[in-house]
Amino acid sequence: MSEHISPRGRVATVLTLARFEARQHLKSHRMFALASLLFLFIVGGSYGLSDPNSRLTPGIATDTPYEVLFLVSLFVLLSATLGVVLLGFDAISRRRLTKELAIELSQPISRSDLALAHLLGLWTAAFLPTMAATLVGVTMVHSQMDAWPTLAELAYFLGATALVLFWYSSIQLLASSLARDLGSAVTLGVGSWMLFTFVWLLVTAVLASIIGVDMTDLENQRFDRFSEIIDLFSPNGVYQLLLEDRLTGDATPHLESRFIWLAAALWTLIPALLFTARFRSIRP
Amino acid sequence: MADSAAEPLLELKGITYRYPVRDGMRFWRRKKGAGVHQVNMRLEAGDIVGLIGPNGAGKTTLLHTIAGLWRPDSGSFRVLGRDAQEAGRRWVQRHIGFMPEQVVWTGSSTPRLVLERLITMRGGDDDAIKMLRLVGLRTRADSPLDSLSQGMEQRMTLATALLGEPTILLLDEPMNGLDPVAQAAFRGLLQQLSDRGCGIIVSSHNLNEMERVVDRVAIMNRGQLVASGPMAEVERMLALEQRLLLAGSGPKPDLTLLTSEGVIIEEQETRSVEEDWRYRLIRQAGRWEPGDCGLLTAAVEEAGGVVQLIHPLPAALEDLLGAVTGQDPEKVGLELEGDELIPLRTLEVDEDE
Repeated sequence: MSEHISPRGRVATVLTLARFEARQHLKSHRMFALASLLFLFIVGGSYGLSDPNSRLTPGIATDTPYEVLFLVSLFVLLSATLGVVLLGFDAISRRRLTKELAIELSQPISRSDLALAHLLGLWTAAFLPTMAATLVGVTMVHSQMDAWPTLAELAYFLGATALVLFWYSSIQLLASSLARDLGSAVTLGVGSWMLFTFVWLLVTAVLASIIGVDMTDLENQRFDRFSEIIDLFSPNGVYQLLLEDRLTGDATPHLESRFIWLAAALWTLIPALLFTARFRSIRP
Repeated sequence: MADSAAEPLLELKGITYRYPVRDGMRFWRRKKGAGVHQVNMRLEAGDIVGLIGPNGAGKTTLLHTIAGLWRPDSGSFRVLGRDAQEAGRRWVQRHIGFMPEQVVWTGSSTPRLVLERLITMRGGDDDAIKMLRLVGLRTRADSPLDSLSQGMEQRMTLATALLGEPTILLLDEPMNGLDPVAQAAFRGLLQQLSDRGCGIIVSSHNLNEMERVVDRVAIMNRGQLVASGPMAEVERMLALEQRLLLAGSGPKPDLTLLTSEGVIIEEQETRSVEEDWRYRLIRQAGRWEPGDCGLLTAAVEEAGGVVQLIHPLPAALEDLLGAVTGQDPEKVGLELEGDELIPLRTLEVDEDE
């Protein structure tokens, strides 16, 4: 009669459900659009930025494959995080509208496990094509520069990318679980993405002007430090700081690594826990 | 399960659940909204209970509460003799199959994948294909969900409710979108499940279909269970008017004596060539006694006619519902305005046109 399930059994169930979820996302029509977008941005970006004849703004170095990858991260932020929005903005709200969620919630499974399966499924579906595009991009870099990033650099880049996609997956699912209809799902999903991708610079500028930090001088170190602190509150900012942390010379962040990693850990935990808590109390 | 024979499958005691709703502009505050109040109910093994009531009566809310989609505000329920609170949500849900109303299956996934996913959630070893065969969707196992018709979607939802061979089945509007053949097959399936000891609660607005399936009815109105029991018992409890059908051939009998006893006589259209006349006799007070049929037959024969048909008419579910809720279809109406919906018209043609 006991309903006790071993931790191993729970993990196996969550992973199996996440696989179902990821498979569903990967086979969806949206994935065609997303895959094209990812390959266009990441592969194209890798090819263009590693071109020895390309002229970038002074101060931006593309001397090593990792430096190219660092710049490609901007394209990851534009395309892969948008991919998470595309796949996840209605992941919960649609099920709620179609009443599929009522069926899921009436099954004898812990809601936390179910939430985690949704999260891992969405994350896997967004990360796999991003990783594929990155690996193709790396071969483009090699064809242009005749050099490979080290395995550690590649793993670090993919790890940081996996993290930022996980953060976005949590945020998207949280937004989707809060949405009551398709309109609010789109608004919350796209709105949160736009906030961190486009509006964050404005937020930083406004806060800087309120506090009295001069932002007109690009060499102003005080603004650099200030913007790095503000960036800790944005997933995009933390992602960039993580990648910058491995750069050498002037490009390294002013913040100590432990603060960046602490922010990364908090971004991994807080949105995921908020989503799980929300899912546990959700009414179909 | 040892004591499940003695205990009802499901017993609700004072179940209350009210939806939390926003308190005006104070979005951080919630107040209690509509829901279900103090519901008591028993479901025995093999019972098929029809849960009926007008829109917004609380039928779906009650089913959701039993299905464990939320915790009741107060009251308790026992499943197979165990207190649901003590047994835990997952134990309860393992014994309950729930079919929500009008699920829309969309996407490029397939019925087989959906069922396999749900089987994983249940931690069971059901065979998805076997389930799809049971509901007549075997040939669509690998078709995209988007390609399913409304009736197929209903069958798909039914398949999800039958996973894990639940002891208690909760069905919310299961007949919606099913064609007549599928409805008949569905009735057969319910009967089979009932014969195996499964307790079933069916909520539906399709009262004609319900009448053919259910053993007992539970009538809800404004969040409360206002009457429940076998149809005849509820009918008696509600003191519904008793009706009797009388049809025959030859001269019409003189029934004026009955009107003084408070019987309303309604003349109806005949239904067969043997009939020359047909009456519906409605006794507003008291009941038709067995001897009344003999007296009526004698009255017909005295007038020189022959009785073709005489039997009491059971109350329809509409009557029970109307008696409980005070609703009268002729008075309630749908208050349609504008010309978006064109009402059915009967052609009235003059003979000389």
